[in-house]
Amino acid sequence: MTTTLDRRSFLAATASGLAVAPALRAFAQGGLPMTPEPGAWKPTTCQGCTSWCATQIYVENGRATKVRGNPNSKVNGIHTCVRSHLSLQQVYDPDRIKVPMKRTNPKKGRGEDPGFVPIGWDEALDHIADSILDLRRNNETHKYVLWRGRYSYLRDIIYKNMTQIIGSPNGISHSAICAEAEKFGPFYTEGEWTYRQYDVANTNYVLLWGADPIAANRQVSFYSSVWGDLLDRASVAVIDPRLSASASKADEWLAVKPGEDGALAVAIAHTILVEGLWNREFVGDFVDGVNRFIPGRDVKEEDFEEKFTHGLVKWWNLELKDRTIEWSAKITELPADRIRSVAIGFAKAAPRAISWVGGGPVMQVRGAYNSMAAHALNGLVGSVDNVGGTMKGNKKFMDEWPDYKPFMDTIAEEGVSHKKIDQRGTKAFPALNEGKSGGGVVTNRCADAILAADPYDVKVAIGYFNNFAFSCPQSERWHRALARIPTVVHITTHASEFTWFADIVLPAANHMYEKWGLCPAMAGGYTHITLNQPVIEPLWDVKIDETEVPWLIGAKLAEKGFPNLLDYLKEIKDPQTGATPTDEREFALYALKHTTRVLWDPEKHQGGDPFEGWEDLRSTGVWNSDPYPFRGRWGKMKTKTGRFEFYSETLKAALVGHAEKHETDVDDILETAEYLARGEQAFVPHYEQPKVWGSPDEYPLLFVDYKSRLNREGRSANCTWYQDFKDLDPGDERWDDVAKLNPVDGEKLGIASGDRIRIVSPTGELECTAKLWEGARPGTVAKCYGQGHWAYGRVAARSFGSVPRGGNNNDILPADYDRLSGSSAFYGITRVKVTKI
Amino acid sequence: MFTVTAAERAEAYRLLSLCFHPPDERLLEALRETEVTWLRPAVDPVLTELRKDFAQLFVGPFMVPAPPYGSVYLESGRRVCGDSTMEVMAHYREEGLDLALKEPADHVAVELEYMYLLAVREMTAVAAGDEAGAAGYLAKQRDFLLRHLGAWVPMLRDRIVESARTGFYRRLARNADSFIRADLDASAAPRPDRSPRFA
Repeated sequence: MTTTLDRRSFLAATASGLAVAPALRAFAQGGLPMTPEPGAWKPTTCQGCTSWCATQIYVENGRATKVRGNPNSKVNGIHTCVRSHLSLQQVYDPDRIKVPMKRTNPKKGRGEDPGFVPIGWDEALDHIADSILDLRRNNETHKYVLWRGRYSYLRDIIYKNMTQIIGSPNGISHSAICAEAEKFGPFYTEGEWTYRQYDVANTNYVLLWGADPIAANRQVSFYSSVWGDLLDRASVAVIDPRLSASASKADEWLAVKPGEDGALAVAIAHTILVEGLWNREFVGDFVDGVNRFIPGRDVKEEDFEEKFTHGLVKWWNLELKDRTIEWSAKITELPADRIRSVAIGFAKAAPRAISWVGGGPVMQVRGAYNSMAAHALNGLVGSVDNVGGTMKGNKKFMDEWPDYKPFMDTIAEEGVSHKKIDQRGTKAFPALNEGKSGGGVVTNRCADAILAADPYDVKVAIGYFNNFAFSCPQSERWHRALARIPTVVHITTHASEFTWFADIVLPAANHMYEKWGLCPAMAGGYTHITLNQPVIEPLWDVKIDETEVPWLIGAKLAEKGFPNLLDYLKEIKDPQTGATPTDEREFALYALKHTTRVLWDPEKHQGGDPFEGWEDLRSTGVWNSDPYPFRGRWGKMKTKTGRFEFYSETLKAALVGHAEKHETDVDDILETAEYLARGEQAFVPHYEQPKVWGSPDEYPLLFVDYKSRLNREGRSANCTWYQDFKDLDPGDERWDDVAKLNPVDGEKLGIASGDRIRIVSPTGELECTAKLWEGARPGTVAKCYGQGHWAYGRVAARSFGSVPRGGNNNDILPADYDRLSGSSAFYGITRVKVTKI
Repeated sequence: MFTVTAAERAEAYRLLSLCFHPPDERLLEALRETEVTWLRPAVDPVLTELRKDFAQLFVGPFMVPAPPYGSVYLESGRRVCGDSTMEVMAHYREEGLDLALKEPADHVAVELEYMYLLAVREMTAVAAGDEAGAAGYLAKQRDFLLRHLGAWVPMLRDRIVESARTGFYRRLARNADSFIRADLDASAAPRPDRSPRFA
């Protein structure tokens, strides 16, 4: 078309009536004009990893432009890490989900475009409510599943309370693909199922096991801010098969053979005892003061008098006496003198010495015992709960939710009595969270359970803040499992691989900019509770996953004759006025005010920072605990003996309990769950030969997975800054996904930097670019997790729907488990072969 | 080549704006009845197909091949709510306008409706004998086209033409671009500078 516009004819026609009342759609008719707003720092929370830093966002004229730490936090203060800034590109990403959508292609599969079309919230909620009511009509409400990925502490409303009122036992969390095995060691030694904080300000030695605190989890902002001082004062040794950011700045880098961390831990323990370097104040001593820990020789229990620990001599006799440095050097393929210097250096710094256990050595098949072995070193040097050592979280306070049980009817009560879908607590999956058989989750097992309809099939599933179809090992199983579920709802900011299999997509508020929530986090001797706050008006028609969506579902169910959920949610009132919420927005705010009342209401205050009222807490953005009470738990630990257990009576009770439940003995359980220990050895930290998939002949290289420092838990690959700065991960390249091989291996295989390669494991394969790099241990392939999306946006995928940008590590990692903790194994799990394409 | 009247010009901006909203029966009816004949679809479109195409082009969910937001084209970093968006908001504020659409201020439908409003206000001023006022509105339209809408619609057109699955949106993209270009020519303005300037 060619058009000439003649302005004179235009002016001649101005008398036309058209000009009188303009018909508006994008602008408000007679609305109030927007007024300019001066810039201000507004408090919220960053959940780009589980550091959960208190942050502030600079907002000007309604637009967020800058991020910094919240100076009111005693955990991270004004510091914030590099990836927090990527959040600006996440919230303002044009590829975000903007309105509810529904699937138009009934076929589900990797190759089937879902054909999503926009619908209104009402239609979306109709669909969801009808699906739930169908389950209720057929008395099969247990076939409803709520999958939780990341969350704030408003989580229980959607995860537990709503799920139970609907009548399902299936609130299933992501925890087992996070780092549950990291909590296993501390629980079965000192009785705390939790992550730890570390007194880096007062320590003299840090032994990092696969942890990379200046790049990845946890408290990266805090540790980055103090790491320079730490390096000036203390020694840092890093155990990691690849050169991590922390390793690149450390005094010692021990490139252990993947999977063999346990052999190093027990040898360090052996050396500490043989050299007489254990901490007498915490552990105790031989009655006559003569060290009888002589390699290869048993010690009599009555010769040693323990103080705050239990079972040291048993540990020595059952495990440690033969675990010499020379034995360890053969297995770990580390030089004996280096092992010795680290063991002695660590022990001589006692009790100001930290054995810092990250995910690497423990999120392995059989990793539970590595977790115990590496953490038990803290017991030997007396750094547990001590100055310059390891701490648990400080005491924190939150108000309980009103009891939901009165709102469960007989259908719901019958529904929740069914087993959970993830096979937790079955004979092969003890998942001994906090000592209970089936106390923990086995997230990745859900896919197999659904495919086998064991214990039953799933008919309605809601996932939020998750992407299990990408983030779980052997993720292809999830594609098939999700395709089997008749109604899949995904509440998410971005359409991911999980969304691909959804029937209804609900646009979620961004956690850092558009949501009410609260997050506790700890570091440096304090715990803070920081609020997620809507610091900007959302651009699109999004709702808050944990509060607004349950309210809307409740309202829709009530409209269709099932009022229980809405009636329950109305019990959560505004603590200031007593008002009952009338819509989803009020409910979200009241819920947060309710659960934080114990922090902001002077009459309810129990500790930590005092506040004058809700507005005081809201504008400050964060509550800080009282300082950490060192040594408060010595002699009062929550173990069976009240002591730090080198011989774990607590684990023994848990294993016996699980065995009795299945009418068998502990050895049978260990065999079924694929552990090698038998008899008493099962109750002490010990070395287990790792279970590695693939034969060395067919698959000559060991695969080393790790996480990008820019990942924001895998949600940032669609940010151009993620791609622009990808080389912040040591060895990586911008706008690419590289697998790193040692130059020695590159030469052997005829592979050069820049070659396109295929990595094949026994369960899958991926394609990416090769990079020869000395930071990869010879005999391994090291590759960062994060790239490889075929969905998630225009930048994240090279060609949407078909060609990913690089490869997803989970395509080659087999679905296997550390069954005692329920954890998925990510590390030391598989061998691979690499070929040039 | 043909000449459009003033009323048609305002009407064209209004209808072009409507075309960048989610398609519905009302839109099809408006297009069937409009006197802006070049906006009439060549063949009667199937609404379900239009809805799917609109979604995959401008809404998502997996990626948006033709983001309908100015900042994506005028700035680096591929994001919404950039400096250029703030500048657009300032334009609206100056006219005493408030957004009713749950979208960033530089959504193509909003910018087109803004042009429609300015055109209407120019006509109203002329009708009231306010020559200075009319000249002011004319200048505002030219500035807005040069610095915003006219500067990025050619790039939006290319993205739509490349990714549209219906003739309707391909034709719409070409028509919108040609119309805006012609409108700029008619106001005897220099060509818009298409290099990013808000980086």
